[in-house]
Amino acid sequence: MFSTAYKPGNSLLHRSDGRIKLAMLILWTAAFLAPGSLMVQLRSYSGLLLLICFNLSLREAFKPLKSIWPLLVLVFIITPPFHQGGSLLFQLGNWYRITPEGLREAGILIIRFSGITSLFFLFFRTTTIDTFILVLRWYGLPYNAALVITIAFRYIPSLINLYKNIQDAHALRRPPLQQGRIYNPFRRFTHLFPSLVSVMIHSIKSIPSLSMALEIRGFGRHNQRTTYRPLPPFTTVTKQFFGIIIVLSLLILSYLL
Amino acid sequence: MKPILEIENLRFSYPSYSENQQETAPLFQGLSLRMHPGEIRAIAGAPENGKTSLSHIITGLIPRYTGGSLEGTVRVAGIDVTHSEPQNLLEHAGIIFQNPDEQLLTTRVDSEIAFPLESLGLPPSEIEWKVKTELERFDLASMADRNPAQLSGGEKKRLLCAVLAAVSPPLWVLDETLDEVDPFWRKRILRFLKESGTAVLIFSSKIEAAFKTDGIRIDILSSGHLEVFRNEKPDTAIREGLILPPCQAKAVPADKTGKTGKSAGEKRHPVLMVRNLDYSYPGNSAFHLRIDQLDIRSEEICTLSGPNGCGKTTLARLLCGLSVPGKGSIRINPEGFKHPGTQQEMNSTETDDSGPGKSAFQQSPGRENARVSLLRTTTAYIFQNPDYQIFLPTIGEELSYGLKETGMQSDEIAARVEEAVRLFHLPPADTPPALMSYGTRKRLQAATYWLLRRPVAIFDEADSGLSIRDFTEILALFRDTGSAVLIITHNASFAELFSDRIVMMREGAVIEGNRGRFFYGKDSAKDSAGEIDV
Repeated sequence: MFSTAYKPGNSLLHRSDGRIKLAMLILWTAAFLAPGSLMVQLRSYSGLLLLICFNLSLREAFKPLKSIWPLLVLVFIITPPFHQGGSLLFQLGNWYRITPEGLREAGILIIRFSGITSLFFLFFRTTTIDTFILVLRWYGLPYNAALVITIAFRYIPSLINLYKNIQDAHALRRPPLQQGRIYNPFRRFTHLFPSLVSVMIHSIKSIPSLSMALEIRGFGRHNQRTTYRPLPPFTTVTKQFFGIIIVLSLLILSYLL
Repeated sequence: MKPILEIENLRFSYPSYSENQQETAPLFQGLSLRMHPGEIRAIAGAPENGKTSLSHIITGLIPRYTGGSLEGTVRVAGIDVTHSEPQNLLEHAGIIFQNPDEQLLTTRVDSEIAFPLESLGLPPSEIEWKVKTELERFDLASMADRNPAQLSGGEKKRLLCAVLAAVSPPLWVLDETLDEVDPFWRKRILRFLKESGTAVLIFSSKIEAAFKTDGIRIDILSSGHLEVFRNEKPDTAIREGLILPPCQAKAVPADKTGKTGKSAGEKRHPVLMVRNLDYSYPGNSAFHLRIDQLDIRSEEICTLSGPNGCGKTTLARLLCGLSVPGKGSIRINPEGFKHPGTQQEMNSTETDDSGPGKSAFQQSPGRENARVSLLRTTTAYIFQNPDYQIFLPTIGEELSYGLKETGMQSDEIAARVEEAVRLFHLPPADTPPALMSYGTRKRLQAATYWLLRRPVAIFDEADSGLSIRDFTEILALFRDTGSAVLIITHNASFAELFSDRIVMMREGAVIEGNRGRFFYGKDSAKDSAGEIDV
């Protein structure tokens, strides 16, 4: 049983062609990964935030960051000492030195992580999994490979839901509250462990179940597979729009490089 | 007429996980079965008797996925399934798993129905027509774009029936499929199967009354063999716990004071009091739960029933503090508790201060966590899916987990674990739950909460996958500890015989709170499809 990040809606991105969205996703991801100044990355990320606000909401713009904030904090702490340049801003011991160059590098990495996460979030928030499979097939990927990729993408939200369910179940087995006891973080951590073990057991157990479910529904048959809900026809307008995006993206890339 | 299913002299053993032996004891010992198109047959058996294994052998999943030694022949539509891949049996035999969550593949209801049709390579126009037909037949059209993960247990099983109906194989294998489906739909599904001319093999841990009224042949799977069930000579069924001996199946079990039914219920103290409860899921305006008044009383067995998707599980989640109501209150009454320790604890915690039209949880945000924790530790909620609540490597560790948290001495823990293993008929304490059947895992799940001695126990479709004997024994054990027991079930006979009170729900509201009225249809007539033989 799978979950998905898709949120039904009628925004411009919801209505846009999945093929174009996937192409844009790849190009924009490449742009984030390309070397560029902090300002270029910041502009690119700001544009993305505006796009999310316009198509979803302001609240949605910061949702993807909720899941990666510990990583961002870690990057902010460990990156600066590895990039020295300019005047010393802060020093801790002999080795932990923060300079403007180190802060700039940390900023680039943080924006890069945030940008790529937000890009994928926006794509899956506005594109159904069915469309994603069809788009991958349109780009020439065999059905089996496309299905495996989409299952991998759906697996993460499914695991999050599973974790919530299991956490609920475990919460119900804790002993009655003792009057005046302070809930300490260590106990919270020890309660986290069995929940994670349960999620792991479930995930492992679900592998043969998923495989069985796929096979009894005909996955792996040798005959040609058809499609219930095909992609809309690739009209001339779409082709032109597609062409414009490619040209624009190439221009942006050349500017960045 | 050629048989659609032929099983001859089937012998099967799972591989052993012990170093000393290669295989476990044989599960089937020369089992034979033959079915013709249009024949509907039920195979009833206690948990661990091999119902799921047999259903998986017929559909080519075992021994492909599990290994093991299989002898004899199993043919579906003339095809030897032991030498065939499951995907190539798609148009010949279809199966619905006991746990629907293991079988749902897509993120839309209509895509779920379309998936096997796409595998068959049918033209899109034909797929579209079939999807539309089955959505309407199983009343799922309004949910076509919903994620199957969001459906109720019964709705998921209806969806899986729609998937099979779209493919229309000549043999349907239903593994406990009628459990969790409400009586109205149980009856409709059975009628559809009879009219469709398909061969249907129903595996069940209960003898449904509908099997007999519809003239369905019932076989009992016992000790690796099939035996025809005869109403006039039900010895094997009684021995296997599929029906209760006549002396146990005639009246509501008496409580400790010797009182039964409503009269006894009125004297009992309420443990949980629900007042003006109002709840809706964020982002789902279609469903709204409104309960004006509902009391859960100590030492009482109360049945909560109603059509699939009417809000039973939502109410259960609110009662045990897993969800927080938007308005209204769920008040804990310490006077209703029979456990002295808990009573003292609850007395010292203020629980009843909500004003009119405002949630007791919302009134003081600082207290919300304490209130939620209080409800969670008052209530034992036995989930539909036991696997969410079982997470440790052995039965012994699983049972002792909650007791260790209370700071109990290890020798006392060992004694209580031993007692639970004996009373709940569990395998030895060092057995890994992962190797146990679904029904045994459900008994283990119940035992873990029984040890915690919670004042309220909620069983959400807990009879699914359990024999009637197992389930009644579990309920008796809980009531003997003084707990208030709330059962969510669709079994009308069981509810009327064994519960003190029946609460019916429809479209998010309680529509009847008295004993003796168990209905689903529009005419509120008692529906025989919900009955089981006890």
